[in-house]
Amino acid sequence: MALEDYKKDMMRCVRCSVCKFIPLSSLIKSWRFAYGCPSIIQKNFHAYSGGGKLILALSFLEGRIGYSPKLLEVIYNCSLCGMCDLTCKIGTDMEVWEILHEFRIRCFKDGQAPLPGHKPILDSLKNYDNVWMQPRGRRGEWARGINVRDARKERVSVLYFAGCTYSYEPGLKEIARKTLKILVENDVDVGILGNEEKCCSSPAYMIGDEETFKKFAEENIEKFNEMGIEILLTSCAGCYGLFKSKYPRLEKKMNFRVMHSVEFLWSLIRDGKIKPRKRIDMAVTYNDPCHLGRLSEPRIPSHGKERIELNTLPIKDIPKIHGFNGIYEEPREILKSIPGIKFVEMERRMEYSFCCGSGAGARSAFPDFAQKTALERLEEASYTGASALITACPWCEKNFMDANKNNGALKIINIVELLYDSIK
Amino acid sequence: MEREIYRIFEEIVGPENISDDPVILETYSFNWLTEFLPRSAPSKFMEHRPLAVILPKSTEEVQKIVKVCNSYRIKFKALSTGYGSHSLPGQENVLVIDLRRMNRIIELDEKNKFAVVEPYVVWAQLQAEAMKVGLFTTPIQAGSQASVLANLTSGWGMNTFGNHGGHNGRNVLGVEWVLPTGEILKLGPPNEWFTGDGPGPSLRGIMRGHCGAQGGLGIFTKVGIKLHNWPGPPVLETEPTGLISAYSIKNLPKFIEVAIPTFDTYETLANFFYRAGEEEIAYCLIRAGSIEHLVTFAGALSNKEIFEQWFESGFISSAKELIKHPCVAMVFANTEREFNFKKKVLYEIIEECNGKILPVFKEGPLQKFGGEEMLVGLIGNDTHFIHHAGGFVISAGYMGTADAVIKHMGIPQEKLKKKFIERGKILADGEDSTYHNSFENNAYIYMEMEFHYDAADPLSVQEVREVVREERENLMEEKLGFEPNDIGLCVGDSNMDTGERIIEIGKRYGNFHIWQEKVKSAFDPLDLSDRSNYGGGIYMKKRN
Amino acid sequence: MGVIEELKGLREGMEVVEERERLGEYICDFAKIKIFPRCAVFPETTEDVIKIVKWANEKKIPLIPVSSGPPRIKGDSTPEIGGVMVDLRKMKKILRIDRRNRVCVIESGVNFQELLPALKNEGLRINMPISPRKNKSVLACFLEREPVMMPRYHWDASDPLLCLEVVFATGDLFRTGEASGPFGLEEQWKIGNGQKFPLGPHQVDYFRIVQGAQGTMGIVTWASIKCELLPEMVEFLFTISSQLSDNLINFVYRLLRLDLVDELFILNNTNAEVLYFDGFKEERRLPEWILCMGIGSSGRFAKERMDYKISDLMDVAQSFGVKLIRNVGDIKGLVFFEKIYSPQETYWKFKNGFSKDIFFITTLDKASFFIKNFLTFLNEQGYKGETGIYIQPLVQGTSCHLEFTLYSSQDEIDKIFEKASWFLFEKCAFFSRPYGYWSNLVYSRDAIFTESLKKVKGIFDPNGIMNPGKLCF
Repeated sequence: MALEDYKKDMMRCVRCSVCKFIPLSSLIKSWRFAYGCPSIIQKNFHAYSGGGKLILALSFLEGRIGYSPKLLEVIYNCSLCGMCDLTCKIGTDMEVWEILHEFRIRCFKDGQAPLPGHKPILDSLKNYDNVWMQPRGRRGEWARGINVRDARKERVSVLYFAGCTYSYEPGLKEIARKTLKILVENDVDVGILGNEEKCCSSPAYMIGDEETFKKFAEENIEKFNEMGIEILLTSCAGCYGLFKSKYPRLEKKMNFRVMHSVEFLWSLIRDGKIKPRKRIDMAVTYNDPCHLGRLSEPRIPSHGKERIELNTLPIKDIPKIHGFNGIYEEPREILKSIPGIKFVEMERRMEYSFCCGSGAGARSAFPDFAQKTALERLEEASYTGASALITACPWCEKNFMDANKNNGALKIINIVELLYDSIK
Repeated sequence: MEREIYRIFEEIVGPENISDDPVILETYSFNWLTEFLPRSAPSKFMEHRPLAVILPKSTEEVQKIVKVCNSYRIKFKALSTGYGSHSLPGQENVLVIDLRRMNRIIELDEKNKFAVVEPYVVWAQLQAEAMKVGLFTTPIQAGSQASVLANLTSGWGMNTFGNHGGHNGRNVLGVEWVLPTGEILKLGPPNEWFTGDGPGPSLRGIMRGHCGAQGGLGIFTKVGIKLHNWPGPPVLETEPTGLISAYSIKNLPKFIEVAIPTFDTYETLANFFYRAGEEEIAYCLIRAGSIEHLVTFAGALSNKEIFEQWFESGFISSAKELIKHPCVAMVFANTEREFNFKKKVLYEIIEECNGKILPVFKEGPLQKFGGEEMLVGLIGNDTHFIHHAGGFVISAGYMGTADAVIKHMGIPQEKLKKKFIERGKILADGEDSTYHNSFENNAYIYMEMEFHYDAADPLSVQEVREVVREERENLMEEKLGFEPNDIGLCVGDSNMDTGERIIEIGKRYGNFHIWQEKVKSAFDPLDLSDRSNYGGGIYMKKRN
Repeated sequence: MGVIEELKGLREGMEVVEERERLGEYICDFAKIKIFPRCAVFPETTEDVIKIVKWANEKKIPLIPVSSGPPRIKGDSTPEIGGVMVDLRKMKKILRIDRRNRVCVIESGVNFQELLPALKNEGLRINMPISPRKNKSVLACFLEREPVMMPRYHWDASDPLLCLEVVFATGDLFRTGEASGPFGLEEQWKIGNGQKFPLGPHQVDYFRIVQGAQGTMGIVTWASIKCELLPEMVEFLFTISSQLSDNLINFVYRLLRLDLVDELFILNNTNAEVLYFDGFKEERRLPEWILCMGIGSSGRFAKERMDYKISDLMDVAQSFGVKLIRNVGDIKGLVFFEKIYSPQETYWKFKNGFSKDIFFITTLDKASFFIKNFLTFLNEQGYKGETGIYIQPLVQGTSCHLEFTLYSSQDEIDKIFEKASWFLFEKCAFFSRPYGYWSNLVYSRDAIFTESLKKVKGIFDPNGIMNPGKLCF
């Protein structure tokens, strides 16, 4: 794997600017919410767009530019949300996301990364197996008092993986607890890892630290395989996206299925096992997290391998993944199943949902970027007339909460909380 | 850039909106077609990086920037969505004025059917808002992500629904224009946009011509655009299908019909265009060359699927005999009566012109080219659909009557495309990859022949230079001539650069390069608005 | 050698007229001060025109091109400071009528009386002004962006003028748009070129500079004109109203959205009576406002088209609660249709006696505002005459031509004309075709625009020989 593999893609960029918008053939619904890329919206110089970064990667490979603070700032002022990749792929076979990601890996290999803002995350991973610099011994505390099986000790078919943020973040722990309670109370054969749960390593992967990613991912896969679980279940969209989409890249056999809690919970509702009964009179809209949506499908990169047909038609023998098959229906079905809920869509939704701005280390290194991106999304949510923005990702939630502090009219609610309230 | 001058610009736009960092500048040195521009060694990058890039927010800021440029003799080039090498400065020491932050729809006049937009309003945005009041703006051929203002003032003005919506060079109303000297010229009445002509002669005359000003004569900051009636719903709801355009319309307008007739000869095809024009039935009337050419437009599919589904499967070889010259005609009506009438006439004149509606378009894999798929493909067009291999070049185009277009088509098709396909370095998408687009009920047609090449393969790039050069020679030999409008002018063979070529063409077309140079001198006496893509370009200056 | 001899010497047989009585026809009929040209020369070919223009440059003698016959009403082709009239009426070849491409190519001297029957023979017509006078040059009419009756065929303000051949004031020959080259007309026709695409060549729309210039940029020798199919079936309908109500205007707006009607304009009863009856009566025979709508249809599907259009039109009318009628009083729709397409010996607005127009461009929704204010103004000024009003939607409905015709004695009109123009100008009327006094108004408003126009003039007429004293030149 190397940045060089994708040089031809870089040369085939036509700088059409499609990467700056939501997919054009989705037929943009308004002037206001036509843009798709959080970076270019804020920074405006072409360099910050998906295409701009392709140009920079080519320039870098050709030795025209070298490392500089500006280059690193451009590369990392981006949440790797994948919108550019989606829109470009509507018409081409370009692997934009891979190039953006490989560029980060290259920065790491050349000792230019991590950026100061990312260093604490990696240090924390190395020292504590989580991204929040919290002691390993307290990882399982979130589940205290819930009568759940210990997956370390007995065989369970469903392993509930809380993830670093739901495990440690005081304001968010409740989400993991409520999810788990619903599972336990409905006799799901579920267990947890307690203090032995380790980070999925998504932050390391996204900022380009391949080595750390590999270490964590391989250990996790081995552990999950050994446990003989059938389903790896998580409420964190970040963990889900990595497990589902990026772990397969290690080409290690994974003997379990990855599910997000919205999928699982919807199946319980669908099968009549749980029924939301309590009326919640509220108009809500839903934010599709990137890693539960367009970035959740397994993608095997081409690494530049191609054959040429019809004289000049480059053909990559890999499936073209647009992101259409992310988890979109289930959260909506859950919301619609709750009495009193009026569900309204934002214009940018599902595979072309607008990013919250938090991902891929953007929030740690460029908090201002993350906040502005969240505000853009909050504004879009307000336009729908909804009084609450529903999320299914702790990173989105946290970022929205922070951005929402000052205007606050919109409630930020996790989908599990809403469901929990309705069935209790 | 000298710090002192940089600071002056910085004061105008704020420090975050100007940069001369090489990382930023590098991304303004690369574009579609840059590989063809003359330079010492082959590269996708231009010979020179810009001096700096600046991002104004308003006309006032643009004016201030231009005035500073005048004070310090700094050349400038403005761009909006900036697709193609003609959006970049073609010479050293040019300040790039990226108009990205000027992105407002200033006015949408429902009654009088026009909108007023700033440079970075893209087609898809304007269309989204226009539909809400039952109006339509014909899709820009360069893609839905292309600037409406640039299409009207600075580019070719091509669009895909021109048969109903006209040519965008003719849809221009009022214009606000920062002249190269920094004065603001308003075409049409002050503060109003319903017309841009007069008093007296229309200064639209020096604004765009056929090819658009391409940054060579100042900066357009607002433009009024004539809109047309939209008989569809206010919002088109879509869902992904993974087919031709990736999306399908859920609330497809009721009175819409797409026919893809095929004709055995160019003459019968032309007859159909004339008849469809006379009967005024088509909202959209286009043609995408041979069947190979048509299917390679299948954007959302991967190249692998395109190849396997159409070519490897044997579909093309079996369909080729049946489908000679297909075209696309769309009826889009306001009422059921109108719809029934136009639909009936459409099919009757197809028959009258010996056209065939083949079952293959109704039930085979090609059916996706009909109906809603085609509507999305045409109106939500992602221009990079056509960049399967990372590059495509348009031959010498032609703009004129259908009969002339037919005559022009034979030459490149029979003499050239086949030969070059056999040579193996341009896309084998059929000998005839001509795209036709009818305007104003077939009043005139735009034709271009497309050559797809691999931008990452230097031999393929070189081959395109050859094909374009040879095509021009053929056209002149056959006494056909060509419009001096084509993007192909950016290509040329390696020994002859853009400006020289324009001058050669100018001699055959009333010495327009000399007249244009006079316009340039009168309005840009200090020669500051980058002339690289204006008139005879920098070569004209060298000659002077 | 004198001017006359020199002109005569440019080509054997070149007609030059210098007799004062014959030169009288070149004077603006209503000008207070009569300025005579030195002489009039009658070129017959483009080569003649080139020679004349080059000669004039050399001698620095003003040229005033003219192609219509008298009377000279607006004063655009009359001498301001003497000079030589270049009378193009001998260039009257209809070079081509091309049914397939729906276009004709005509020389400058071809007038409506000559062109319309020729087009009719080929099944064509043009989008043209209401009933022009017979000797009105077709090119002069469209070079001046005169309002045309069918807004849906009016794609651009320049229509139906397409490509043209012009001898710029420098003496250089130039052809525009699709006609720009290479090769001449005959060879272009051979390859199917129909001179239909007007823009260019390259990055300048030369035809737009020549158009609206009142002959100040050069002399057009031929041009292609966009034609439409001659209808084989016609329905001509009216809607009448005592007021120019919002509802009526909105009905027109709706029609401008749909391609149902061809001719579409509004007249007040004064104008309608002058047009139909050659004069109005003290007691009007007609209601105050008359909306005129024509539907034409031809070819294989003529009847079916007509049927659907009429039915659809009825539906639209019903939804606005307006009535469509074929005859208004004694005015029969189809006779009216004949009239508006018939060139007249005497221009219709002169059939009731003296008249003068004040016209400008605005939008349809502002028409009532202008009309109300202007009529009040006339009243306050003690104007005794009558006022005709003509509202013509243009460019597919994006704007409209609003025209007030003052029917009164020349004295009274002369007295009020400038004041009235100023009144409208102050109310933001856009005099896009500034004749005479109006040019003083419009060119003093926007210095940058005026300066820009002068720069263009400097390019194409560096010696200022073409029709000096017009516009801002």
